[in-house]
Amino acid sequence: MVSRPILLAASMLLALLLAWPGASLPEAADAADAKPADAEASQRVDEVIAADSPELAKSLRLWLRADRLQVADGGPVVVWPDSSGRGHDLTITRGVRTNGTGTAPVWIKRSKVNGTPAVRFVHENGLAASPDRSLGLTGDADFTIVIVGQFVRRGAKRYRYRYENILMVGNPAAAGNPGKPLSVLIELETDKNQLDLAGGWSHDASMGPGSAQVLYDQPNILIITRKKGPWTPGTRFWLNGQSSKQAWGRDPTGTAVVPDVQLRPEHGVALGRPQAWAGGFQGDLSEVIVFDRVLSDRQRRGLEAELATRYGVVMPRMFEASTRRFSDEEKNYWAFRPVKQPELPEVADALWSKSPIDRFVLVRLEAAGLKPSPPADRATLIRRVTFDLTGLPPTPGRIDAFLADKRSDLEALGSVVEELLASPRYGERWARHWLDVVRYAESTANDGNVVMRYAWRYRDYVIKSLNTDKPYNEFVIEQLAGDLLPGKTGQARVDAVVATGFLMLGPKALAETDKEQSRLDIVADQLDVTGRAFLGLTIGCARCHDHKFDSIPTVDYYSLASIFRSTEVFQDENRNATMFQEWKLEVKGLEPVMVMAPVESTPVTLRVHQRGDRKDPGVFAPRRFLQVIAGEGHKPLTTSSSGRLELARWIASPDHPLTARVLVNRIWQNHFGTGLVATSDNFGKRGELPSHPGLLDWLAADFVKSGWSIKSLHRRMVLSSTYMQSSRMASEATAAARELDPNNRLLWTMPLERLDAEALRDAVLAVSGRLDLAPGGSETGEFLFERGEVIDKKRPTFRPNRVRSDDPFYSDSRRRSIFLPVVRNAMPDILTLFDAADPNGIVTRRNDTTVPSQSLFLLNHPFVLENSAALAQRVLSAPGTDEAERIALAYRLALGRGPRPGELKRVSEFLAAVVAAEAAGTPEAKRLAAWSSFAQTLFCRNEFLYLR
Amino acid sequence: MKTVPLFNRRHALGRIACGFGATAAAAMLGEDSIAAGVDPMAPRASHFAPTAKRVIFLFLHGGMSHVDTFDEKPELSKRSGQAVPFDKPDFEFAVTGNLLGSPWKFESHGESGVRVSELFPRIGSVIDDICVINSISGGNEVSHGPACLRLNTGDGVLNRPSLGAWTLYGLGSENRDLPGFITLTPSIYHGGTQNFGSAFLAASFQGTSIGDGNGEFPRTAAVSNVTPGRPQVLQRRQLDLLAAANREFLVETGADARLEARIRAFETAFRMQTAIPEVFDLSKESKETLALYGIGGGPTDEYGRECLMARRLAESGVRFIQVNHSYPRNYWDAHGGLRDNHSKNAKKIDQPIAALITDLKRRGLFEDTLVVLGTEFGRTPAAQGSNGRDHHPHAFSMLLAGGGVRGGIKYGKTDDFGYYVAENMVSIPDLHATILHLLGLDHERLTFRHAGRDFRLTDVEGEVVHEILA
Repeated sequence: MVSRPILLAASMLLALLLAWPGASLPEAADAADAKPADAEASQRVDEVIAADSPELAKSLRLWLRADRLQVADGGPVVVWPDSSGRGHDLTITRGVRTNGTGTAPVWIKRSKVNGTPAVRFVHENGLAASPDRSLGLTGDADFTIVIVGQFVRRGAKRYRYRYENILMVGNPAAAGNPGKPLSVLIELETDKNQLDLAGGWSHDASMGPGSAQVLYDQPNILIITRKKGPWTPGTRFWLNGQSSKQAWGRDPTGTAVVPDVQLRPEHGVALGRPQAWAGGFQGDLSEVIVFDRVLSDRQRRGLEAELATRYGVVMPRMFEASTRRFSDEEKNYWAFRPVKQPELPEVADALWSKSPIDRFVLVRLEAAGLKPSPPADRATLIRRVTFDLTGLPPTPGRIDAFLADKRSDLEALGSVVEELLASPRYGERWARHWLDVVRYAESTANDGNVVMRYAWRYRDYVIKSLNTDKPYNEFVIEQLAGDLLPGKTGQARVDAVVATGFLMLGPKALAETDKEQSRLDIVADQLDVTGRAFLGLTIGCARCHDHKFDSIPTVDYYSLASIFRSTEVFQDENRNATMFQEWKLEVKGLEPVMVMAPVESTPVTLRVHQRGDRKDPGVFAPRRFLQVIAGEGHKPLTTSSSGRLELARWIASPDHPLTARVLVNRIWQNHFGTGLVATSDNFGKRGELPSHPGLLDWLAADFVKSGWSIKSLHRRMVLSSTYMQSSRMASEATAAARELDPNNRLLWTMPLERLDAEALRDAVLAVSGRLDLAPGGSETGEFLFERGEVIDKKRPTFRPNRVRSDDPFYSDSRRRSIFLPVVRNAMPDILTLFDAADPNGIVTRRNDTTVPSQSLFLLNHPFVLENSAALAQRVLSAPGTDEAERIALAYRLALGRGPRPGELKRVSEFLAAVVAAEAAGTPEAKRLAAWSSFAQTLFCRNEFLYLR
Repeated sequence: MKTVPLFNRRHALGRIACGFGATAAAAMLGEDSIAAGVDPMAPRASHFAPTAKRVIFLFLHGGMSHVDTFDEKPELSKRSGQAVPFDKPDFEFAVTGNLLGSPWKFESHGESGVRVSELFPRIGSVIDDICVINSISGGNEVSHGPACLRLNTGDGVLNRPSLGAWTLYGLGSENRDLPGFITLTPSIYHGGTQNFGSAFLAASFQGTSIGDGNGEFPRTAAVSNVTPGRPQVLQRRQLDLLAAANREFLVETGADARLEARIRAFETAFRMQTAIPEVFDLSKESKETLALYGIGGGPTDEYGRECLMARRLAESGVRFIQVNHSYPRNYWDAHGGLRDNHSKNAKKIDQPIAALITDLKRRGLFEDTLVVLGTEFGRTPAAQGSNGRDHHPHAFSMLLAGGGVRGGIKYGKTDDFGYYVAENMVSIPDLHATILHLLGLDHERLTFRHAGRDFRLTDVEGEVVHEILA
């Protein structure tokens, strides 16, 4: 066994140092060490120097890299070749060398070192290079040794050696006094839990008791430098960029005795336990580098930066420069303050208020001297709420029942709302709102436009989540990191993985020749959608420069980007857009399913790309969250997975100031036309202030308390006097109100809203009696696939020339619009004409245009003509013979009310005139033509197209 | 019916914009007012007096070689077969070999004496009206998709509004009975509809496509839904029934700008059913005109009809017309067989383009119509294989004519081989800034607030090339 050093007091150290002839402070003793931490941070942290860079290459003696080994995952490492070019390949020693005991460690593809490849050692493993080739560290030598790895503490079962060797230089084949042949020995001293650099018999420099713990706790870049001369004063330990003084508050301790190594000729190198006398360590080594001199501070830092980036290791120095300070004003920005549920305000007219919402609305109206609009009539109410919650018109039967309900409006409406929320149609409607925001599509856009064959599963997941009222916090976490959630089994596991399709849905560039750039563009898309969908923040603005308006520094952008870049969206780095991740998900007890979902990769630490240019790297951006909310310079993530789960949990935590507010506002926008914050994707300074801040916070707090139930939120909003107001604009009171508050920000009326594209198409089909209510599935998407053109033999891929925006498929299909395939750059005219969301981008609020091309569609498109004929057939084939009854049925189906006498007369005259004008055809054909023409006018009416 | 005071229930801006009527500045037509149902096609005043009122953009898809057409390189011919004497670009699409001299001769034309390759004798004959820019740089977009998107939308990757959409956003349409942005036979590849899309601008600013690159330019009008679905007499009855109902509804709801706009839109649509086929009907053109464009068979027939159509659309007040010579039927992507590819393609377009300029001039339209001839990139001066050229975005040529552009000049220079820009580089944002400038729009002021920031066609770049303005 190696002998132990004599530890000396610090004062004695100094004395000995001064006594040593020609002694001077070693070069490695950083001037910076003596300076305060600020000075340290002000040094350059952005320079990267590779081990084989010109300035280091000639000193490079040994370079072992686990990621260059060609071994099967879990397979034995019999030889670990030297990448320095000097031929110090390490081999097992057992059965190879005299007295060799070292058996083969194994290669691990995703090791404890942040999921990077490593060579995993247990106690009996040992590798050694031949001592015949000089490593160049003869005797009392200058050197720098770098070890990237993470160690494992021995278990309860006691290992027979107190000293666990990591790396030694000497002759590992030498028998006898084992200490003598060694000139370098890095070991773990287990009883004191400390790391030592032993220099042979009785000469040690130690990090000190307890210092080894950090080597067990996290992946480390351990660098040991030694300058010729007295042992301990010449030795420096660096752990993840921090000197032992910075890390432990003291310099190495040990002995400054002249080592007895000066004349030793042995110079082989070994890892672990090559020989019987040595104890071996346990742990994962990703990289080992030996130089025959002491690197300058600049070089060491540059090398650390290179390694930290490669292994996702967080170095305190690296994140010091990434810390940002914010003013109190910035930190107290309204949207970043915690949500506090306010008291309900007192109002003068207590009778009007039927829900807490009403109190907040009314108090502002009263303050402005305004009155709410009168309640809407029941026929209007049921049409409004049915379209609102399900995207379909109410049936005449349900309207009649509601009109006949003797209970109060609120109670009667309550029953309707419960029915609607329980209907599968609810999820199909509200999922579309979410799909707009998350840029849902089934092809990749750009020039490849490859079909994303399994995207539909994500769409169906959103529908199901809404229909089952999945708590919103879970909904958020699953979309960002469902694949990483522990404890998910069966269908819940499938759903959670499918949910991460969220990260895959964006457009992808096939032809981008710079593949890393295309990955960074994907990350930008993921960040943009995460920011705007969940947080109401335009994080994407900080890609090239600090956000111009919000407290989002560029480094925060890249910190988040580091998290997303640690997950892989593509299968093949050379064929990005066609080879995005699609794989077979095997879950116990279920048939395997094909999913489109990202997979975990190696954690990386990106650097700020100055002005967005990746060729111009700036400071390191460790994986972490937005500092203005999560805390200035808050501790970076150290997880060896990507960090998505931590990010997701941070976003979905009950005390996050934005998440609940943003969702509540989004739901509000879809019920009331405009959010309480009118810019629903931007709660930043460029966005608008909330019209009712108290209400927003009350709802956000209530929402979290309700268990993040979106259905409860609908009930809160819809069952209120505010929602039940009339939209009628004709009175003097409304004239005064619109003078004072033209934007209706005080909510003195309900806005009139045009049916959106999907509701319009679905309503036409429903009214004509042709709507197919089959639930989701892959069926409609297969249409794309049938027309796919094989551009990649591994997977048939779709080219847009086979599907056009006016493809008859879109108008022939009778499925609900949400189930039509969403092809980027070939979106159905039938939907885009009426401002459907363009899936090339995030759409948080749709346009509402009124243009003649919409009228041309309603006048001439076969879809409208065919459904007009179907509606005509439907009313003509209804029992009864009375023309007036048939007209009334058509009205009730399309408009939810019967015709007024004047209307009845006009329609009768119209029908007679058309029949009379038809020159040819049977009486039946003439009649059908007349009724079809009339039916078409119902679909064209503002009363049909707009919701009061 | 009495006009009810305009009021928009969602946004006050709608009211203001309509109050100012046609003079509302482009800047006011932001995200909010579009959501509010303001007619996005209403003509709007430009930032300053324009020299061009409309644009005809002739787009040659696939990448027309510059050194074989408008950028003569004697040194390239002299050293044909020799190695490229300097570093090739960092970004290349494929491997190229040694220098390849042009197989075509160049001749001086007109009073200006501008030299044009023998591929384009007819364009040469009107060269005194044309400004040749030899120093276009397309950045590093070496693939068709990103390069097409960059030329058409300013960005090769992200979803951005097209040049035509920005133009409509800035100026509105002169003829409300016709679409304001029409694109003839665009390719559905390489960005497809994104190349004439509106992205986050209102959908009504996107281009209306007539046909696509897959098929021959249709001989009859093919605007969607323009062909009446019922006899127009019957439609008239329907519209009368509809109008009565809509008026009653408006009384019930109270005033609303959107409801009124929709009542008008049906009447406009009804008129468009007649107006559009008339514009698209070439049969009223004289034999002489048809012959001028080379219509009536032969290789010039199709592009001739498209160019004549462009003139008719320009005459009718369509703001932005793009005439595409596009994949897969017409494609300049000569990786091999350069001579055959460019000869055939040039034959198809030379006469029609010259005819378009001649025809615009004699009808007095040339002064305020900007004609642009563009391609997504040039081709490498070095050979690909034995007889082809690869993609080359690093330096290439485009033509501008009419609408306030100086004719008979060349602007910018490449090096002796046509590899890199040597003088007066014109980037794509510079080109866009210049086109907008000619239309009276300041590219830095033509912005749209979206997702928390103000977007513009030229993003943070773009300088107007004042030297080529008349």
